[in-house]
Amino acid sequence: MNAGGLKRLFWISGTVLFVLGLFGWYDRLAHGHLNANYGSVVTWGLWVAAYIYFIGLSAGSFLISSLVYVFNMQRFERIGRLAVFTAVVTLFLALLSIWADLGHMTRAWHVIVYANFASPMAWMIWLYSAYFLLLLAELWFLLRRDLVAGRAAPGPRGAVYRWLSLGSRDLSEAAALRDRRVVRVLATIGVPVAIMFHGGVGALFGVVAARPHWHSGMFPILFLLSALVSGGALLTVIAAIFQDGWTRNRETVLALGRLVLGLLLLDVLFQISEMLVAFYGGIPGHLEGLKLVIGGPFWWVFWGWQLVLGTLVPVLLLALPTRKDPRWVSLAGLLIALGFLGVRLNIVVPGLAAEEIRGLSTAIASARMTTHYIPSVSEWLLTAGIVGLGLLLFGLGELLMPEESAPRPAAGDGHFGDVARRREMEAGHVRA
Amino acid sequence: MYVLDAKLGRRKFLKVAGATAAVTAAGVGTSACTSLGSREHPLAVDAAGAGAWGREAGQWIPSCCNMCGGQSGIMVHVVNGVVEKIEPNNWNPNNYSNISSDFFRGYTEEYGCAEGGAICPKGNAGIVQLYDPDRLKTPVKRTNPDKSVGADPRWQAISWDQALDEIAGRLKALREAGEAHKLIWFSEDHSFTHVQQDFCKLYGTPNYSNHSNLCDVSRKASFGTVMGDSRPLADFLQSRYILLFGWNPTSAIKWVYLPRILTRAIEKGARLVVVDPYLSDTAVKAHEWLAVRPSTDGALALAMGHVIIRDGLYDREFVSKWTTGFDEYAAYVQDKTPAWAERITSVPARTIERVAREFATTRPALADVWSGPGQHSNGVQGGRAIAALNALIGAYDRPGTMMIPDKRGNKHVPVEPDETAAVTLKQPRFDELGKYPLGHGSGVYTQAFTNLAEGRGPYQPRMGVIVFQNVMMSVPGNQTVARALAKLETLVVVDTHLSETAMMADYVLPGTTYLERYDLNSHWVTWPVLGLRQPVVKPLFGQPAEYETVAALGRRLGLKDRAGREFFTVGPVSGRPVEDLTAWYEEYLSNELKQGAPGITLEELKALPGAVWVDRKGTRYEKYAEPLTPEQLKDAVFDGDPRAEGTAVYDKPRDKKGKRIGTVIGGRPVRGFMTRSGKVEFVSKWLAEKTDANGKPVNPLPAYEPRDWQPSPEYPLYFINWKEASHTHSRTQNNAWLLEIKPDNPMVIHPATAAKYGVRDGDLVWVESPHGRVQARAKVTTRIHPEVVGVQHGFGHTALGGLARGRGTGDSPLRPTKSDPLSGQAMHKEACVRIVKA
Amino acid sequence: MATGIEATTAVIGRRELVQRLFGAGAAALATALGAGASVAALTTAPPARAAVPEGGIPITRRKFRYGMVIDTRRCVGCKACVVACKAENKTPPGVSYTVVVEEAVANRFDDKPIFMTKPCFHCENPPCVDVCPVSATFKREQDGIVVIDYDRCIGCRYCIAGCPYGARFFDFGENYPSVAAGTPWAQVPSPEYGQFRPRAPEASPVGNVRKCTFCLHLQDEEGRYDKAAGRWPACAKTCTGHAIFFGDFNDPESEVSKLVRERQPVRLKEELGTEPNVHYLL
Ligand SMILES: Nc1nc2c(c(=O)[nH]1)N[C@H]1C(S)=C(S)[C@@H](COP(=O)(O)OP(=O)(O)OC[C@H]3O[C@@H](n4cnc5c(=O)[nH]c(N)nc54)[C@H](O)[C@@H]3O)O[C@H]1N2
Ligand SMILES: Nc1nc2c(c(=O)[nH]1)N[C@H]1C(S)=C(S)[C@@H](COP(=O)(O)OP(=O)(O)OC[C@H]3O[C@@H](n4cnc5c(=O)[nH]c(N)nc54)[C@H](O)[C@@H]3O)O[C@H]1N2
Ligand code: SF4
Ligand code: SF4
Ligand code: SF4
Ligand code: SF4
Ligand code: SF4
Ligand SMILES: [Mo]
Repeated sequence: MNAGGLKRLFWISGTVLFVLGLFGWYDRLAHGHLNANYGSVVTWGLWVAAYIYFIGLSAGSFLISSLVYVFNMQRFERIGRLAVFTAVVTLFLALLSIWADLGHMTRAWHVIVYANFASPMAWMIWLYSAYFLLLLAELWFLLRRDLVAGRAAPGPRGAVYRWLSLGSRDLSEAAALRDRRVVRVLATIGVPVAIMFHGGVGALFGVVAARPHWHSGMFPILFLLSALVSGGALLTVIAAIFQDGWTRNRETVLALGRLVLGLLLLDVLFQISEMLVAFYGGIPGHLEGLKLVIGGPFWWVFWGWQLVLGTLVPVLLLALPTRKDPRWVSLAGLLIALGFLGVRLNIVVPGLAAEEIRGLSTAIASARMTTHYIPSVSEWLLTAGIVGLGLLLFGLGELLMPEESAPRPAAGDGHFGDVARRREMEAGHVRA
Repeated sequence: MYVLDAKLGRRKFLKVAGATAAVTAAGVGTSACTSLGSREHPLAVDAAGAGAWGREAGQWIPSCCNMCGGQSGIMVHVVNGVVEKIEPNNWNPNNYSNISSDFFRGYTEEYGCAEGGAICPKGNAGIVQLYDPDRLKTPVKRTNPDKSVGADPRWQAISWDQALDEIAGRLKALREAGEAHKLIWFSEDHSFTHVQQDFCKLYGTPNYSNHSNLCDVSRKASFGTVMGDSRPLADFLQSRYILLFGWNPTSAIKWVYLPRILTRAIEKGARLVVVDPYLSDTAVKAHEWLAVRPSTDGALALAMGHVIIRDGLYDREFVSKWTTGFDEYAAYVQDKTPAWAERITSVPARTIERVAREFATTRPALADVWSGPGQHSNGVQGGRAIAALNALIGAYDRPGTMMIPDKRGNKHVPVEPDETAAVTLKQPRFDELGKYPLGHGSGVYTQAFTNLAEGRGPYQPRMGVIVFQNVMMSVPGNQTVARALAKLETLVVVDTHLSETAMMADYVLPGTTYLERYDLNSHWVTWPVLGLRQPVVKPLFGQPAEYETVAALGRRLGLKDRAGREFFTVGPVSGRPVEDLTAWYEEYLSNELKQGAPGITLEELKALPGAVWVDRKGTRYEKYAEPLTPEQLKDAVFDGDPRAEGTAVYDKPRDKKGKRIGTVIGGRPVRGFMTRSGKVEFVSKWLAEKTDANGKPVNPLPAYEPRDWQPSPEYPLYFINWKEASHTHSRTQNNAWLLEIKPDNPMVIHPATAAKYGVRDGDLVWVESPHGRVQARAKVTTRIHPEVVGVQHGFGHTALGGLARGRGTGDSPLRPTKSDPLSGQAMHKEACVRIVKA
Repeated sequence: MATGIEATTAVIGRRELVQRLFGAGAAALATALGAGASVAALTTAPPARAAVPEGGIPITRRKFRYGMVIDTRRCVGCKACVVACKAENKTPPGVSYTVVVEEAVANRFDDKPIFMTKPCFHCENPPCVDVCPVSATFKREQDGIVVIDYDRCIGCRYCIAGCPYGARFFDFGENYPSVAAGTPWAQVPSPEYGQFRPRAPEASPVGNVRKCTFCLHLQDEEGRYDKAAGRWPACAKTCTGHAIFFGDFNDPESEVSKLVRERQPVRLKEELGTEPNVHYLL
């Protein structure tokens, strides 16, 4: 299938999922948590899993963008802006997911005004609020010049650009350089923030002594790694689909593939050692969670979804000759990215599914007290809707992400230079 | 603010405090909360809300619970006409102890008993029973003639007037046809029974029955024959060795003081031994659980008797002075060795030996028995063998033994029927109660229903009234019960819900809950205590209370007593007509109080703390040894030589309905035991002349005979059942609060047995007997004897309410509709089954 | 042979209980220590306390230190406490501030349970409080009762994850038929915290986490309970076994202080350093 076909698929699935999501949202807003399947034992479910999933994607793709803007890795510069854009979108999705999960959505602002800094969650919120602003700023400076350039464009497109460029008119070289300096500074600040808050999300679980399954020093690191893997994976897909990246970003996609493979293997290594520790330690609490993961009612999430689809197949695709074909590589990326939703579910649910006091879940007869959890239809729908929204946002991004650019910038600027080369490629002069 | 520690001096204390304060100050600032961040802030309070709904708002009305027959005292908080909360009534001994010294210790007028009373989960959940949306709200009339089980009655809601008119009309027709006796009436036995008995008598039917023969008439017969009181009460608190046969007092909480006095006895060093095929929640608290084969308790008790006599451990003084038939008994148990009993009971002989010796050598000790052994065909004799154990060690009416309750309370003032009624009253009872040598006034439900179903018996009843009972769930073999009820031309059921029984009726009248009506409860403690139940809210749907329904029918029928008095119109105290039904009944109760032991009016009773009358004299021990008082003897008549041992003493000549008041023992007239001989009877000679309901001669000894129904190759397993604190019989399974603590009743099965039939925990299985099959979910646990399976009684509803329907297992279909042939006790626990995976 | 079994309940000792808790998969010492450490590091400061009376428990700087001693030997597992709490606090389905766990003692041949009534322990170092992102739940200065501000709580349920004892419940907004059907009972508000909130969809405490409050709405202005006036925790008031002792650990003469001094009660998961204020006699 060609990029165009992919794009259509992209739009269609995005719209479908989004529309489905509306039912989920209606149910959530009209009936609160009545139709959610988590309870007071397994008290966090799909929405929290989706939240850490998207957070991971965001942090991951941001860190990869930093390869360009902080560490100046030419190989990836073609997707730098995409990466930042991805980080913004996925973070937004993350916030939506956790917002829906709150018992009182209208009180979300409490976390800012009443923040209790003994709570990892409070830190989290402050950090990614900061991070969000930073991302927006960085993205704006990355796009500023093109936005300004686009002001002239006819029709709504121009209007949007005029609006987005926030009154900036300067197309000068100096301005462009200043932009890049600013971007570098922001990116450099961003890296530690991203690492902190995402490691922090790990801590959010790690500090919970009540839940042995989570209570491990490994968690922050694991979270970081998995963020990079999933983020990178997602980018390979996006880079492949976005703005004819199919052909244009070939090299980058392949490079990303290699990077992701490396990270994935590292991640697997950590995962294994984590398990070994638990098994050899033989600590009941720890084991209970793990046993649930690998042998519980949802064993297939781990073996099928996480391991086979999310790890084995991609590893093969990225290791075998298929690694030379962007289509296979991006497919691998897709599988990994999806696989990680399973990973997240398997962090959240089993951690809670082990009774803190034996017999607790049978002490009173209530569906809210069982250790079994399967997301309800409306949980799935709402989550699907969030994913759909994400796809649509990418779609819009694709439409609005400036194609054209100001006159060919000074040499050495790999980034804006591409525009010309792309035209040639499209004209078929250059074989990529 | 600061609590100064006893050990460290103040200065040292301040240092410590200072130090810690410093540490905490870092993160906590002024807050003593140990969290760095989460700071205290004031919580809003709603003073207005407190004013409107707080403990000081509304009233606290003393009353008595009736979620089960326990009648615990309750304090009901009523605000804006809504029952907000139900709490224990600390003034009512029934919530605390059955021994007066324990109750009065630390008792104060203001607070009541020292530690405060208790109520069980059901008592707490009474609110939900009252406000259950599934309650029946208006009278309904059947429009579908098809009365087969499961057929939709096609109820038609009708007005109270129409309902009462139509029912009264049919009663009138029956009576005028001279067939009043063809009305059969069944009622529960703790609530408004007297007025129903009066109705039946004045109407002219001998067929009034109530509940006890479903319950514990076998126990009544056992103790009644052996020691002359039909319901002795165990004084757990003062006992040092407690041996329970099939009696589950901390979970089948017959009276809510039981958990307290039993656990307290253990705390004070008593040893508790529970004989039960199932490790009941009571056995859980025991030091020793004897997992016995069902219905073999008699053998176990006889073997214990064997050991006690063989080793000469019995109380010679008591036995010689206060018992009869010892020698025959001793001869009978000669060969009832522990080895013999082991083969029958599966309890190891050495265990029997040891328990027997412990029992006989620890004083005070007691042996008690309830439904477990009692609800089998050999229950009465088994119970007598257990009662005999107490006789051996003199464990009657002494501290820490089986006490004879002094149960003086309200008096049921007898009514005299008019001529019309007198005629039909002479008809024999339809349930052939007379066939049962130890039968009880409550009748024999199983006989009545089988006769009706099979068209047997002296005549065929045409009308039936069932009040406050769910015979389709609580009588064994409900297939037969269903056929019986369908045979009645008219069946009227008075129930709070559309129960399984109500579904068989032609008319169902909405009953009241205990929070909407009156009753007098003379409590089951060892000294006279009487508690009041009173309406704390108006009947929710404006319906009359059951007694008012009865009186209203009586009025419509114009029932008169012999003196020609319109009984249900004329106030028994004022002697004047009383229009208002409630007012009339209040007078009725006042009369019973005035003429009874309290000798006070209803209003005076209401005014007492906790609305409970407590006899200050308290518990008396060894009442059997009390000499008859001069005024008792004044016009007493001796039934023989006033010196001769065993001569009976009556208060007036027997032809003038003289009542036995004592016996000549040791040369002087004493109260004695209320048996024929005036003593505790190891052997009841008079029984020898009797035959049981099956025409078999009755053994005057507490002989062991295997129960009728034994396991067979096709039906190899014993099937039993029990009660648990979470529910009452078949009446609370629509109570949402109680369902949350106990949602169903899985079938308990031993791992070995489960393995044998390939059953895993949680599997659905068919439980099959020759009489029927029911489905159950298996719970595999070593809490039960390997040859036995069982369930908690009360689940498996097909009606009653939306929550109750389709939950758990009802076991009635597994059994025939039969009673034990001596007392007429329904055999709820006698069944053999096989397990088939569903 | 399996029949004719004799079961004997020796009063079981501390060790057996601990074994049981491990068997029960309660956090084991090894991790727990680590746990304690890292949690403390991250979230807790040492509790404000003064001294330990001989054999007793520390007296805090607070005015009162309310707590319970629950005698499992007196408990008959009737669950009256569970229902009484429901009746007192008008809790909805699935929200039960106290539960009775009947867990069998590990490797007994007869599955004999120990009935254990388990309200909130109002821990001295409550992890549930530490994790709350908005300080909606906190330990009260005056009496150490751990409360929840229903108007501030955002319903994130982090505290549920944080409580090692399963003492917290999320109010999903479900109702019993007697409430849902709008019977007269439906208008009765919950007296919790003296806030007398009527039950209404989407209105707090729906969407909040809820927990045992030690029935603090029954305290007088000074924060005292009064057993004689019925101002006493509902579960303790109804207990058929009289197994629930309630009182002030800051008062060395209180029944509960005496019990802790004179008998050897145990607390669940001591290893976590949460220091529950509910003790168990075994
Ligand atoms: N919660 C609650 N309490 C109640 C009631 C209720 O419905 N619910 N009902 C009240 C009434 S009316 C009554 S009569 C009492 C009855 O109180 P109990 O007599 O205690 O009634 P059950 O629990 O039916 O039976 C007691 C025990 O007998 C055991 N058992 C069964 N067959 C045998 C046997 O052959 N031998 C021996 N040794 N044991 C056997 C059962 O396993 C059970 O544990 O409870 C009263 N209290
Ligand atoms: N298999 C088995 N069967 C048993 C037993 C057993 O252990 N096992 N136990 C036996 C014993 S001991 C007994 S005492 C009997 C009890 O058996 P029943 O006396 O039949 O008692 P319940 O089964 O509770 O049925 C009571 C009925 O009255 C209704 N009701 C409840 N409260 C009121 C009220 O206030 N007013 C009116 N008008 N109706 C009300 C209820 O809805 C229900 O339909 O069961 C016996 N049956
Ligand atoms: S035992 Fe329970 S249900 Fe029975 S009367 Fe007492 S409180 Fe009510
Ligand atoms: S028991 Fe749980 S909820 Fe209660 S204070 Fe301790 S940690 Fe918090
Ligand atoms: S649910 Fe409420 S109380 Fe619990 S942590 Fe979240 S905000 Fe705090
Ligand atoms: S103290 Fe009050 S709130 Fe806590 S469990 Fe007991 S009754 Fe419920
Ligand atoms: S009420 Fe008392 S005896 Fe009953 S379960 Fe609760 S604590 Fe145990
Ligand atoms: Mo009964």
